[in-house]
Amino acid sequence: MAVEKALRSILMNDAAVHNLVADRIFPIVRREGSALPAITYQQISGVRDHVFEGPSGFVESRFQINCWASTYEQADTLADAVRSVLDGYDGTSEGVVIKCIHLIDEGDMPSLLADNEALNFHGKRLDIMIWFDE
Amino acid sequence: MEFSVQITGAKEIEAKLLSLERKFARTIVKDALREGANHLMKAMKGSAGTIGKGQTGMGKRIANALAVRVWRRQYRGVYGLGIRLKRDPAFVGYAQGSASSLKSKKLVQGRRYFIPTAIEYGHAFPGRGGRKGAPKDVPAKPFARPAIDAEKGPVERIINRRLLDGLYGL
Repeated sequence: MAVEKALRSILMNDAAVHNLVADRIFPIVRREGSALPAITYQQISGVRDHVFEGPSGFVESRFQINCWASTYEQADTLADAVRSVLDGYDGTSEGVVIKCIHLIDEGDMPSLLADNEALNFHGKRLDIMIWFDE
Repeated sequence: MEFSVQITGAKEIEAKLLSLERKFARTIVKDALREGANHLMKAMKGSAGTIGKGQTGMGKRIANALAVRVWRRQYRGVYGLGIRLKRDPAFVGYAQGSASSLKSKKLVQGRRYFIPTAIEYGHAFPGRGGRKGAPKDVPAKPFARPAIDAEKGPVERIINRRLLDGLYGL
């Protein structure tokens, strides 16, 4: 879907995010063997607007963006950079007219190990809502 | 996870509720909220039911455990409901400090346990797939958020309609 490309492009074209992750922005899961820090994104929901004639082309879609790093501080810094570029964004990217992006929730990623340092892997989660025209 | 609904004619509804005897007003609000919460819970159960496989899978367990519960702490003039997970022997909390149930719960070797929060948001885990060098991120399999996003509008309409039903017998 085009909006995923648009989202990736917005992140890739931001200098602060690019300095931290280069091109390590993956859909769903990280590629095996890829370095940290990295970003993964996935669509959580997509609600399409309809009028009497049919679909209006206006979509409200929730994405979860995970910022992964080997230390908590790095993950936090990356999450801050992602939040700065996405929260309040509007414009056209990859041909998709994005009306607005709002950060609606954020938090730490759960870890299945009580001692997360042993895992050497930390994550921050950002939930964003994107309103765009298809 | 919280979301807000917009009540049409809130000022008039509030004035009407205040003019009623407290227990009647409370019943009207309770019924409206419960019907909205039940609608949302059904949608959550529907999306949870598609996670995993089989009757004993984690999705089925989550779907069976979802229930509408009244807020334990109530204030005068405030009434709240939440959709929560009932206790299930297969559920544990995720590791977070010394009070983690993952640490304190005696886990039986060979039995499967589920962490609903980690399923909703995804999680970190050493070596996904057990291979050396495998990525440590496990993607989210959300069941609550898609239901909230899709059913926010209908829930709003149900609550609005039930409030008007209760107040004016429409």
